[in-house]
Amino acid sequence: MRTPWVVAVAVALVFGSTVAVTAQMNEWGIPAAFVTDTVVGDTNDTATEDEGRASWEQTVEWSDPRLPSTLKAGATWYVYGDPPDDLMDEGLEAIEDYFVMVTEMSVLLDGTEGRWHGTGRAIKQGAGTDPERHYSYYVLEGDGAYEEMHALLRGAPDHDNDGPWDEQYEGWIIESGLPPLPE
Amino acid sequence: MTMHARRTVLATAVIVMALAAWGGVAIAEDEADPMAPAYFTLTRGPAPESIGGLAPEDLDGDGYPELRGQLEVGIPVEASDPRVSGRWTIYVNADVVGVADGTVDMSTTSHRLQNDEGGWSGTGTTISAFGGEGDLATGLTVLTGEGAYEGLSLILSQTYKDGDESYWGIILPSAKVPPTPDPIEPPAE
Repeated sequence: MRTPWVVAVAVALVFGSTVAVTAQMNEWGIPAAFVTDTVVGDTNDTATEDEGRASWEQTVEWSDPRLPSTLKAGATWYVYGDPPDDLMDEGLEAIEDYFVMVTEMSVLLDGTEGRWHGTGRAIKQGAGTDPERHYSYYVLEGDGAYEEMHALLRGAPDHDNDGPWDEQYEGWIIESGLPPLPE
Repeated sequence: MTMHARRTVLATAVIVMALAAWGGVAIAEDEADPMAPAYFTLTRGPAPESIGGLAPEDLDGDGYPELRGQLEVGIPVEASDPRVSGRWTIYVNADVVGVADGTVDMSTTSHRLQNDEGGWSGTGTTISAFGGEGDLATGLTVLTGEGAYEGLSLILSQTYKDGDESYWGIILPSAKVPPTPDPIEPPAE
């Protein structure tokens, strides 16, 4: 049965050179759902382990109930700073834009019906929330009731976070595996 | 909570670094250090050559379209850091998903970016949604340096939102890329 949509299918890649194909689609087999969230309360990061390594837990109200509300994460990070010598005595705000930070995360969304687990990566230059200098991306795989599903999320732009964690997420749940990596 | 109090861990790290008390923070010793981590932005042009891709009839059959091995060759790239300028080639595998008001495609990608001094190669994933509440595509790619960039890694973020595209990232020594933490174990039942 044909679905009476005419859509621009931007297939693949790294967008700028997307191959746009206009077509009338049939029903396709893999549902997808957009998800957003709100983190409820403060992120519990009291479990900071040591230098360059931390763990935290968040309670998240997702727009899609398939994503459980308990988010646990562990992270390692690297911070590098190159502030001019003459600013070193000027205080934090004078030098914080001279730093870059890379954070690697393991993430678990733990629920009674199933779990989502995977990794995230965040990069950051300086302080603030500018999306041109603060980005994070997560690839999670479901199990239990969510077997064969993936959630691809990013940290929502412009949100004010207090740590290497995000406090707003957005992305998609895809009811399938990821395509194989190209050779 | 005041804005001043809302300090990021990055900022906290800066404070600690300023006190020279934290081994987890590296401090630049030489401005000309070619291995020094660096922030960059880039812009790209259209691919002069594209091989493969989906034709309209591919979207008219049963099941969902699978794109395998699309190749975008020689994309011109200009970056704020000359190490990232050059020609970019991208292989793409993608599954295209129809949703009620548009499409979503998830892609895995292999990349090579080349210039006269060296190159970068690696892989990434992207998720792209078109239609509905607006167009959004985003993803992250990690590349490893070759030639003059041996020993360096490049982490590139890619975002496309309602017509505006953004590429930026960080170059850092490969040895400094943080290890992936151990998986989080669910509580014992």
